[in-house]
Amino acid sequence: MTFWSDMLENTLATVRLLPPLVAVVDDDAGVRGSLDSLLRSEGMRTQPFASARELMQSPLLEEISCVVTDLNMPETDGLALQVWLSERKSISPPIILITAYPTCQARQRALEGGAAAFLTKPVDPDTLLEAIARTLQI
Amino acid sequence: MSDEDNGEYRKGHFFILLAIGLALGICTLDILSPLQGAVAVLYTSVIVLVGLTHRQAPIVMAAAGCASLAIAGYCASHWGAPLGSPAMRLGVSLVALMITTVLVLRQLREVEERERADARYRTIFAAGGFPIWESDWSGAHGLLHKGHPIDACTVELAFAAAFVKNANLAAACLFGFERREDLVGRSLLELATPATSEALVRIYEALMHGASSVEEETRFVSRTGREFDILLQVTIPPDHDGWKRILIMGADITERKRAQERLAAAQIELAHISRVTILGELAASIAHEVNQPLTATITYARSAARWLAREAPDAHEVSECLSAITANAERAAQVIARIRDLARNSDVRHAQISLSTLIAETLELVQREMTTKGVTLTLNIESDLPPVTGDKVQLQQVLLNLLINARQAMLDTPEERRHLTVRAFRKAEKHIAVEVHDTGHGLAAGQDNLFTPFFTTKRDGMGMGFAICRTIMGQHEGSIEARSNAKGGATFVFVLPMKTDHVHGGSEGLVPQH
Repeated sequence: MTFWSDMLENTLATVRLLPPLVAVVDDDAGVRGSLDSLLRSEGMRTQPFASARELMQSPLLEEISCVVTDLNMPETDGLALQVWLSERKSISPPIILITAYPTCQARQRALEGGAAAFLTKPVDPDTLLEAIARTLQI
Repeated sequence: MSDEDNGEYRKGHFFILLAIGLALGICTLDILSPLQGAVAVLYTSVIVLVGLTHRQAPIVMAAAGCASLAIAGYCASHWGAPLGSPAMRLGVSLVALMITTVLVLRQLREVEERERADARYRTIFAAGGFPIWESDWSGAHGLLHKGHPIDACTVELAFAAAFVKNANLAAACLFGFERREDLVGRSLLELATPATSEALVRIYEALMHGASSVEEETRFVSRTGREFDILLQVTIPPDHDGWKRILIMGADITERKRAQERLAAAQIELAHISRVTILGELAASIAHEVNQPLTATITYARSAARWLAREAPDAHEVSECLSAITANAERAAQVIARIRDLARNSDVRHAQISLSTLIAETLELVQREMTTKGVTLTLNIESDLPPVTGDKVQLQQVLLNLLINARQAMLDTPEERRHLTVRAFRKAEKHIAVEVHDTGHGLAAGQDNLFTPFFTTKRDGMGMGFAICRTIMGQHEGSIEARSNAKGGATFVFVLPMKTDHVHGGSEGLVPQH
């Protein structure tokens, strides 16, 4: 039985050690790719999505520990995604919104809706990494 | 009283004295001669003689005097005799006298009338505020009718042989002289410019082809050295007698030409301002277009540094980051290049333009703006559209204007009904139409003056957008119009001529008219 218990121990350890999965949502391939690379360089697991809808329909949804999303996207925008995530029955992952048009209204709605951070493009990579790190520690 | 008038007056006196002598002679003949004829008829010659004075009173007096003499002559010879053939002859003489008087008086009135008319025209000629002069071109007439070809050499010879016969003060002033006498007798050759010879070639050609009046624009330099543009109206009067009398009127259009040049410059400036305004309206869209690749570039650079700083540096990831940095920086540069084109303030340039490419590039500029406002775009471009000729930036400006207007018109439309359709298709034989169809508020009644300057329905609009669109279309020999759609919204259509095949280098006739 030690073999199986060892196996179980190992598997659990692996799962525990597996880095957290961060979703990157942006309709712009350049921005999406760069955020993806940045997060991976920091040792995170990432999953890029070209639209909010792609994320909503993803089988990885339950596994996601943090969502970094663009605010201004066609069809479903970042704020709508935030609302959708918070209205789900399961625990919703923390969300970080990034925008090139930081209006006061959008900031207020994002933060009131529980966003972990509201950042302006071009994003300072250190600020973004710090914000993600903060959400993952909670 | 001038010398001329004085001479006339004296000549009149001479005629009257002569006439009195003649009348007395005839009277003597009438009384003393044994002739049985109507001698009194000869009195008509007295009337004609007095008529040469061109004055009415002496004629009437002469007529009365002659009639009295004729009657006196009859009385002297035939007093107391029964009425017979002498009385008959007197009657005939009196009737002849009367008819002659009436005729002479009438001729006098005609002469006076003609003199008055001449004086009137002389006054108009001399006092007219516009330059007018009469030239003798008989030398040119001789040369040209001898079969000389109408070339620069002949024109110079002909021009040198021509001289001003008469001119008014305005003409003298135009050419820089103080008195009209200074211009009369001169050849205008010394005041000519190269443009003058060119215009003369055209004038001579037209006249040789039988035209009796020619209008030409040209340029002279006045005696004081001022260069001026002039519109010449050369007229050959019916009695020109081998081009001895050519009537020329000139209008100084220097100011008008300067104004036209200034207007063209202002239009270019205004079109530029309008483009900059469009850019302003597009600022958010453009900022986004530039911001995205910038964000990506910065992030990729930081990311590359991190991949390098890891315990086991990952060369593959770094390489990926670097190529992504290049790609995104290039993307930003392209956006800037597109904007720079649009912001450039330049004269109209002429190039062969593919409308489908132009539409695609313009839509790229507004794509983001449209999608964020929830506008659905439909593109419908007929295949194999031939190119048009024109200024790419200006045509793009027209399309941008229409697209932005369409987007603004749909702000009150529910998002699911915001449809924008751009169509390009062949129209008639030689035209291409580009249609921008929206589902916005449409055109209100009374928007016929949509395309006039400063017409606007927007609170903060300048009202120049459509006016400039129309100006640009005019410069491209095209047209633009707007109509309301049956199911709401508006359609703006501009139509451009296809590039014709015989044009070389695609630069024909689109220069603004000066």
